[in-house]
Amino acid sequence: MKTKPMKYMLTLAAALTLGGSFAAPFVYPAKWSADPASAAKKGGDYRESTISDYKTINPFTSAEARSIPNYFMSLGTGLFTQDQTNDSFIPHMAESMPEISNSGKRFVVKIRQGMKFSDGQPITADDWITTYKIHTDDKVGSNAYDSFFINDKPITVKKLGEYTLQFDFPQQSATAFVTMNYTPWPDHVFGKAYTAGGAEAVKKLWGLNVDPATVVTAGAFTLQSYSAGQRAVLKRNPNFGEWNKDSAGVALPYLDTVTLKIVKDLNASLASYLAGELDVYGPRNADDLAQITKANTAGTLKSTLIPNVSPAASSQWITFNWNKADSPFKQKLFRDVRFRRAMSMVANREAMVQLALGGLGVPTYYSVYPVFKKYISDSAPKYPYNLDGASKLLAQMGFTKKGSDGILVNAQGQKLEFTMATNSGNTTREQLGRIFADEAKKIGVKVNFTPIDFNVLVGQLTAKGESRPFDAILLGLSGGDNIWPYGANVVPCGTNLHSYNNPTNGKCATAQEQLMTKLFYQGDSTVDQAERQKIGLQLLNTEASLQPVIFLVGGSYHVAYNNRLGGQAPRDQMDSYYGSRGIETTYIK
Amino acid sequence: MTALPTPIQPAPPRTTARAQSQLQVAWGQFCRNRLASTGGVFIILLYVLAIFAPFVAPDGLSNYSTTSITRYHAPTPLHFRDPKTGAWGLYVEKFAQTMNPTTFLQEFRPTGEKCPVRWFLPGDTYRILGIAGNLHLFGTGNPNCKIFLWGAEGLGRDLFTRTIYASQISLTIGVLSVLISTLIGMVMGSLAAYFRGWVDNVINRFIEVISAIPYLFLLILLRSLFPQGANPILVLFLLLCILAFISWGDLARTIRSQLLSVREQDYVTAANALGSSQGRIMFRHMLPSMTSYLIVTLSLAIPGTILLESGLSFLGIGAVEPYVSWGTLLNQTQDGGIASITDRPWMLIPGFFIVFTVMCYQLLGDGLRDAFDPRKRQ
Amino acid sequence: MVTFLFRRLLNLLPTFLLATVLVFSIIQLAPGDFLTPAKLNPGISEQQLRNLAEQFGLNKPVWQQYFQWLWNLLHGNLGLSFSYTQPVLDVAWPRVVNSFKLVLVNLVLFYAISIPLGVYGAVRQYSFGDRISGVVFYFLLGFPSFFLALLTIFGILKFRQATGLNVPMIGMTSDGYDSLGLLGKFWDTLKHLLIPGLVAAVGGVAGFTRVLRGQMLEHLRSDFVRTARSKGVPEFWVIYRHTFRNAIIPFVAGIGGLLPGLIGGAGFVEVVFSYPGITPMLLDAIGAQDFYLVAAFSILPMVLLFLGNAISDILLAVADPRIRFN
Repeated sequence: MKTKPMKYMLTLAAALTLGGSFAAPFVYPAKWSADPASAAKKGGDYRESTISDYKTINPFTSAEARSIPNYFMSLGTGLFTQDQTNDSFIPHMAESMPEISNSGKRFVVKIRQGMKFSDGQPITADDWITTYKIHTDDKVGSNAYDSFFINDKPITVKKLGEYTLQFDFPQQSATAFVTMNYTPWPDHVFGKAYTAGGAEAVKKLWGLNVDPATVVTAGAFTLQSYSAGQRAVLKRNPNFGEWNKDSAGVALPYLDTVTLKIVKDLNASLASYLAGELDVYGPRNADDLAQITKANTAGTLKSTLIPNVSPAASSQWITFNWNKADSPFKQKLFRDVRFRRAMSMVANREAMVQLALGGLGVPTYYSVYPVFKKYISDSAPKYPYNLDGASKLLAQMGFTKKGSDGILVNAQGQKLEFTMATNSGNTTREQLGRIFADEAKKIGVKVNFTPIDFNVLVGQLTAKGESRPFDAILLGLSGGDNIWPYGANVVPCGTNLHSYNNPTNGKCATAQEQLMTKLFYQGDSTVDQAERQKIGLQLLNTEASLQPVIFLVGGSYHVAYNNRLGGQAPRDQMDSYYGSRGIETTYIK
Repeated sequence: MTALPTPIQPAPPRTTARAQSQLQVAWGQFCRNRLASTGGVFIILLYVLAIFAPFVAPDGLSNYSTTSITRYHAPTPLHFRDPKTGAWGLYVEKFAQTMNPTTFLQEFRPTGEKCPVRWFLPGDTYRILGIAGNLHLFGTGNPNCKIFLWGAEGLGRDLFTRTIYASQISLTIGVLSVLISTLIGMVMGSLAAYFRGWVDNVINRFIEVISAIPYLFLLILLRSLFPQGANPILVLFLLLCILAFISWGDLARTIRSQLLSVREQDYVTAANALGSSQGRIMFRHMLPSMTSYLIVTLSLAIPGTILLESGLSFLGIGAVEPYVSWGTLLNQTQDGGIASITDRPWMLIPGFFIVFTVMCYQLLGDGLRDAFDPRKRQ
Repeated sequence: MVTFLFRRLLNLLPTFLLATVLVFSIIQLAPGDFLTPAKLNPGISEQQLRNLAEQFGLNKPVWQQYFQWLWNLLHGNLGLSFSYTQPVLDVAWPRVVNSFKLVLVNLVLFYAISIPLGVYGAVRQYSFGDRISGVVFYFLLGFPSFFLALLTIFGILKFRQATGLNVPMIGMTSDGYDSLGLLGKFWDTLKHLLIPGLVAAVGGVAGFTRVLRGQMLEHLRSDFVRTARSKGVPEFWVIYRHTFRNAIIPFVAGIGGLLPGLIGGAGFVEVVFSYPGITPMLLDAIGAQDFYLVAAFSILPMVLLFLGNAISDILLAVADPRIRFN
């Protein structure tokens, strides 16, 4: 994920608190939580699970979005945060909204005073500067490196005073607030190491065998212990509560500890939840929902299940390779918009939802995840399941008769046959591909569908050149944000996930691609949300009529939590993008 | 896995005084062992079933409907008598699928339509041993009202059909690879034991080197190196063969150490003293002492590859669509987790086929060993 | 004996080198590298990918990577794990220890079940119990371990829901583990190990039991046992002193081969039970193409196999005086 909007920690009251060295604490207003603040209790342990082992506690070498340093130790940090009712940004660690000058490219931010790290040291501008320096040092290899560049031009951060920062952007940016939102890490730990030993010294800090007492964070929780491959335990950062209160004035977070269990197998995770050993679980499918419902009804588990909260923030699609110099027939075929529209008509999305997703999902036609409703318009072209329509389009292309094996051939005797790959081990994708191939067979298109190793698949997909090594690939994407929901390395020509057309010189092959590239950069630098949405819809229309990638189906996002938990978001604020609860305001009943 | 048990010491061959040949004696012994011969009979039945799978199966391997959904269709009960008319005759009912919005379970309710079960009816075409046919043992002949003896799987395909089709792959794919590794292991072990010296040394070091190969990684790697268009079942077969080429080490070591002690036996010394050639000593005198050991090894190794294939399926590199093995079917069950056990227990059937087959092979091997071992004769 | 050991060591060197080349080239042959998944991340630029490649040395020629790795290996440095950005040994060692614990419990259970069964089978040959235990364990032998593990987890879940008893289901320790005393910690871990240990053990019981039974039978019919019986030695003594101890000799000789198995982990059982052992980490490392971590998990058992085989040879010589080292 490029951007990582903070979750649930904002208050309008905070935005009004201005000036003065005695900064009033942030107050979490009651409307962010489904339970009143007066019901909250202090203490207790919150338990959730993860399926991949944690790799490090070091925020500069950590790569995963939901890792300990990038997520759990960053809870409640960031100059600004996103308000999930209207997607706008409001100040958090900043005292106020920034002063904007230089035609929207310079931001001067006043930092809230009186904030302290978990070890009691004050949080000042130096911490942001040091963090920025280390993230942008290419020898460190930080995952956040890219977020400090726009089109290869750097964003700069300067210290104007002990509590004042200045951000200079090379151009206007829609995601400027996300960029400025990075978590400050202590200058007195990382800055010291960086000055003394450079990038190498920083990378050596805070490995998994770190002494938890030396781990310092600005966020709501800090590390208590980690046991290899089993669990990490986080404990409350007492200094966080000095500047973060609930609407009743109680210091946050409520929880004493957060236990993160490492569970390799999701079925084991479900069993754990059913046995009451986990407080939250993300149900994957109808099976999980059925199991939880059954346990709830039988009374062996007291938990709340909210099915179909929103569509998932991910996509499943088929891409066709336009760079097949080694097979002019296929290259011409895949570049023909009629062929791609026909393939979209072959995709029986209803059957895919019923069979592969167990009825819990929606057909999708566009690259924007269905959860980002603001950027989707149903007026954009779509080519739903219609085998007759597909046959007609193929007939227009010259595929009028079938051979003895039932496969369509053109006048030159070329068979309508191609290979489609997906990554092995993903049951849902294997079923989607199977259904697609079986439907295609009905109109005489032979799809050789094979699941292959994930790394090989990605290698093929991201290959550059005039003849790239695949026909079609079925895969999925996740990540991205709701500010500008188009991928910087997906839409523009020449980027590595511009999967359908990626020649050596990176040039667009069609006028529509050029238009989409232009619209992408235009939207990316448009700060005004309404204006940006308009550009987004134009992009959506262009993309949908070109059909470079055929979108299939999207799953549903479900929420399940044990009834001993309180403080989740109201139902209408939950979705797959914002999640279901802020851990800072979660409490144990 | 726990350590493999060290096999028994081979019995020194003894000449039988009677005119019966060694084989005849063993066969007589084997037939008297009821457990073992039952195992053997079942193995033969399984192979016969596998050969005639397309005929026995009521449906084609990959048939399902996208309009009338039969995802995880429960087994259809067979009715012998129409309760309304009182007429006799085998039939199944047609079911309609709905998802219960409160329990999230698939529910199948009878629509009232009755589909008589017919025998020897035409259906999907197939080939058995090269002979084309389209006759099926039983079925309804109505693609929207199928008979699901053992229910249906994730896409709504008939599990009974898929399970017996899967036996074709599961029962055969491992046999050749086992033969290859046994042959290599036997030859290498005997060479090392007989020649000793530098031959022994080189072979032993070679075993150590190949045992260092990260075979899990190698399999995943090799799977990804095969061209995408390659037939997946051929790829799986080649994978198992390659595995055979690197997995003979243990066998060779055991054979070597056993032959080393046989080598000191009087009859070998005698043969040496009588001037027999080295080759003759090896093949006439030393290797026969390993017969019973090899039979046991084979009876252990063949079901071993059935389990291995299921393990590969667990990792997603076993038999893949459009082919199907017991391992792939079991992996679908495993993916479903607890739901597979509580909501659709028929998905466990392919797993029990694995268990049953392995057990039969073991009983067979055990019986054969006893039959070949003169000290265990009853 | 000393010269034999010395020669063994001398032999070891080329074997070891060859094995490292083999391991390294197989790993390098794999398509893609550690950064391949990063390419699918919409937020990572090509500049960033190049930075990372340089940082992990992935842009150097393969032979250079090999020699650097070998050089480090000879200094006891197994390299850096890409995904953990830490020395491989630090990352892998806790998992090796965890797996060792599980395998130890597994072995104890394995022998505790199979030895009495084997002895019983020989003493009461063809009795009802002998036949039943044979069939039951052959039945269990057929279960793929991951499948048996899933069934077991389901069984524990149902048991817990029915009785409310806190039977450990997955993992290696309970949540409050850190606050327990030394004895409490031991007991807590043991509780978690018993069931996965048993699941991993039952598969092999049948084979071992049958072989031990065969060995016992052979010795029970031998002359010295008959002599002992006729001397009036108690039956118990005959079985345990005269028969069992002889029957067990070949297994003792095979103990060396157990060494790599001891750290090899309990396979897929670890995955399904979410046990923090070697197998889950190895599978992750393979998936992430974390080269040096995979290499370490291949080299470590190899070294132990060398040691184990040497021990086996020595034990064999001790047990069977007819074999000489020349």
